[in-house]
Amino acid sequence: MKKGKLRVNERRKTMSVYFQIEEYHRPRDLAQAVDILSGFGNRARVIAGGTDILPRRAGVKKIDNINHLVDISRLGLDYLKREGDHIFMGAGTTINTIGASPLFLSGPYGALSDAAGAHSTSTIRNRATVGGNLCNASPCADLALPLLVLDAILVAAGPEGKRHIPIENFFKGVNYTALNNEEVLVEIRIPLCSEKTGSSFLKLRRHQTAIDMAVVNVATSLNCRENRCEAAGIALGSVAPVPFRAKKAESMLAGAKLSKGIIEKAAVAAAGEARPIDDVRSTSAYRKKMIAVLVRRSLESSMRRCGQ
Amino acid sequence: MFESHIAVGKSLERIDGVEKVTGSAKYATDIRLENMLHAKLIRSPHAHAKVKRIDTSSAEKLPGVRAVATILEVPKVIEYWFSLRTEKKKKQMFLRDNVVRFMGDPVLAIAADDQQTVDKALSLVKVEYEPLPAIYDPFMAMEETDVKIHSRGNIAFKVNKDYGDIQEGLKKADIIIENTYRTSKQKHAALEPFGTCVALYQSNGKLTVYSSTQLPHWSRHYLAGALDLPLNRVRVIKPHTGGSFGGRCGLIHGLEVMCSWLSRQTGRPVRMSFTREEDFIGTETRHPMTIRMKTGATRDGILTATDVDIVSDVGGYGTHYIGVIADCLSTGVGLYKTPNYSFSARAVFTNKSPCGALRGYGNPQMNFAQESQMDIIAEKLRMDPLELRLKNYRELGEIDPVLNEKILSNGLRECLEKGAELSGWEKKRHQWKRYQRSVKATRNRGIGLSIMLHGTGAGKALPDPASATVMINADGSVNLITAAADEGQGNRTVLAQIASETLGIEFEKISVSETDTETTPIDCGTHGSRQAYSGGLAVQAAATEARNQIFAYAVKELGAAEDQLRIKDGVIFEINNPDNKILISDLMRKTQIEDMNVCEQVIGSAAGVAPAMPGYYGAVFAEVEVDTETGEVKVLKLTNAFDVGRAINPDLVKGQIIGGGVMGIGFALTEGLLIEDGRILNSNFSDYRLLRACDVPEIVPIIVESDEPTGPFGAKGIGEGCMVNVASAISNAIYHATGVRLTDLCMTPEAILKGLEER
Repeated sequence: MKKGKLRVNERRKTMSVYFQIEEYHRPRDLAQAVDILSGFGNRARVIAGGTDILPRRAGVKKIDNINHLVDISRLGLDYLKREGDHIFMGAGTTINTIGASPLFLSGPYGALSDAAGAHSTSTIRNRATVGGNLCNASPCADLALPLLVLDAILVAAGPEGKRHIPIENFFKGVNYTALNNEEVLVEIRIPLCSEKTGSSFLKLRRHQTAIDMAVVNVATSLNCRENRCEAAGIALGSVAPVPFRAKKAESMLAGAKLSKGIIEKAAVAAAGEARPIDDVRSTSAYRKKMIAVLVRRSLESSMRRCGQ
Repeated sequence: MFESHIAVGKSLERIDGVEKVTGSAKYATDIRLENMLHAKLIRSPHAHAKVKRIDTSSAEKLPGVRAVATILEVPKVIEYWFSLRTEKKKKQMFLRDNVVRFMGDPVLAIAADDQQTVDKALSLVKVEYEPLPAIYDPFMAMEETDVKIHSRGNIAFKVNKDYGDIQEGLKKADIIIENTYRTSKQKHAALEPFGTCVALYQSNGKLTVYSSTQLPHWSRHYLAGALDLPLNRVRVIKPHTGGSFGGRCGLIHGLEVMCSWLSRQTGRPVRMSFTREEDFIGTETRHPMTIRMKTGATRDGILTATDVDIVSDVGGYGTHYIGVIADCLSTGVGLYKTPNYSFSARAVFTNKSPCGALRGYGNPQMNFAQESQMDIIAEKLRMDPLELRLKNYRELGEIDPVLNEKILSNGLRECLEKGAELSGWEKKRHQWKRYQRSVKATRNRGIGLSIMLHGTGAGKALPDPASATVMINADGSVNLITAAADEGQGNRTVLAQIASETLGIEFEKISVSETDTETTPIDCGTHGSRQAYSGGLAVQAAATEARNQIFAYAVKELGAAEDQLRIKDGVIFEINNPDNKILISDLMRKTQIEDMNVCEQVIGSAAGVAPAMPGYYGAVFAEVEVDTETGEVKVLKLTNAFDVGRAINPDLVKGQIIGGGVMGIGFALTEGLLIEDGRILNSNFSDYRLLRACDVPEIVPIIVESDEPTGPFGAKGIGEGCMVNVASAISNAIYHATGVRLTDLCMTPEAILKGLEER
């Protein structure tokens, strides 16, 4: 057996409802991970907690050609620290670690704490990682939204070294990101916000079970000075192919004196920027309505958290 | 009754607890036999099609492939209980043809040396289908006569039943409420998937089947019929089971018969185990129903008439469809003393996965309609819903017109009173309402209630035998032999408690047999909330007989009259001379071993059917909070009071009440298969929303004991009823919170919001 490579147990392969792999790689370091990924092109996929990739069923076009998994869970990517003017978050940090971190309890980063708490169930959160949540690029990825309003920078490692991708440029389509096949997302950097910032996250489910994915989820942030909004962030999930910032609605708030009226208007504007679809979980019309409700409530909550 | 109990009424430790907690308990999936083959099914990708051609030639050439069996030769079991009565009917139980009737319907199975070979072989099979028009809607199925899902037509069963004069009843009514309710295709979602089977057909012509069936003896009947074997050549062994909820009430579609067939072809044991996905797409579900209900009442809140019409969606194959409708009838008519009741129902085939028994049978559907109607009537009459129930429920001593049985125990009033007190019904009912009127709140609270009746056992409707054997050993320990299948609820523990109490021998000295048709006498199985009652009666009778035999020996030994003898804690003594005593173990050793002229073992046996089908009752008080801007519902608390006659083991009863509460919330708010063009979209636990532990609110279980005179120590059922009226109580609570009446299950935020906007 080659080093850093585990042959898949024959019996595991027979679980045929789920997609099947040929080889499971556990690289020693990042360089080796990138090497393996470079060798297999689109046939390989990174695995960390495995909560997105493992339950995927066979027959899903996007993963049918994947038969190599590259395990990055032992590359030291599980860390959270505040240094200089950033918070640095390893891509392998689990959702529960984020939810429990005192770094995100205060006003500016409250949305991250909210989103981590609203993500599925505790057992899944113990395995699921922030990097996985982003790289899976689901339209309803919970962690994507607070990171969008916090203007996070994503650090990817590839054969040419590292590069920085602003999170706004990261999501390209459903399950499709700006990463190349041979790249690994290694870190998320959150620029420190002014203490006058508050953020929050809200999620609506169709069935009221914790495991349920969002029908609509939103994150907002507000930077206020004496009730005047200096900057606003509104990110919407589950209502377009990718999570995105509702820029028009944000610009209505920037510079405005915050009031019930303007918040309501911005919330309605945000709903106008969404392109939700009808699916088994919900109708487009309901989603549109709910964006307005959730954005309004989230903005109110962010406002309360300003300066906390 | 006994003055003091040694086992009954105590929350004794489960007899299988340690085994299960330590992981040593063997489930069907753990069974491995020597030389065992593995089998798997090919399932139809079409909802309705003729199988034109099956080409297995390349698959059969694959080394390691041992047998192929197709639906052309292996019969499907499509009728249950009712068909066991006559030879002619028995033939109707089995169907061999070339038609697949739902997406996922088995077409063939291959058995091979290992799982990989099976998978490979299956990929080499070519099946040619001729797709037929598929019908998913039962109403269309009734109209569409060109498309016949079964040769006898699409209506599987229909019934009209009248009590009193419905027209007269409606005339007497001051208000008449009419609505149509729809319920979902709920799945059992048992922790252990349906189903796993290992079958071994030996050269001596004997078939042994390991299967987690709820009805081991009935499964033996079905297998014997399907394979044309005498009953004594079929042995069904039921290992530990991880939940059934009705889904193992019989054979699993495409499992046991197929496995047995493959084993007969090869002479080797064959194992087949469905994945969770197969459980979701290919095994039975609850019958979705459309229930039109018209209810009439006088100004004073006295029910005068109920007119019901039900369309039940059977899916592609029928098994329990008659019983389920009969249950709608008996629970609907039985609960309230409505003098005029008109009941009509049709069970209709569609090209969807088959429906069968699921906890509550037809009662949860019927109860949702009936208890919603009651809530509406109370509102219209400005009457407390609790008072309306008390005015109309069928009380102790009245005759149940469907079963034609006198009600001998009824704790419903106590359920309502205790539930109301513990939930704070009166206060919340008024305060929360006032709060909603005065404040334009976005989170409204509501409290609702509903009641239910469910039958214990099925003695009046089906052959429903129970039997038991109690053997006393030379050391005073006891073997209880019973076929009562324990699905995880703990009924074997309850039966051991009944044996212990009846014999006067400590619970720890009772051991309960494996569930094996070869060594246990006939039992109708674990269904219809019957084991504590029907099984319990058999155990009580067998233990009484054993006790009488013990006394006969003791009379000789102690020289006292039999009516002067008592047993306590394993000691037989004369009541007025307690020093004249003997240990049961000493007496038994004497008669079995020491006295070589005797050498007799005390064996008590009993068989037969329970004398009644007593109703058990319950009241659920649900408290919810509704977000009026999003329609989200949060169940805050359930207070669930159930009259179980007598709780043989209170903790096990509470376990049922809480579990039933969880399943009921699922039925109300989160569960149900989503089907698009015949395809089930949520065939796994990430898409089918079961409540996780973190989603479960506080559930307060209340046990009410009404002492059923026909029951063992006063016991009757609990297993199903505790989920029956949870959905209706939640719906009524949502109405209280919002003024929105929902008629379709499950109730989604979107539907609630739509209701709020239309309000």
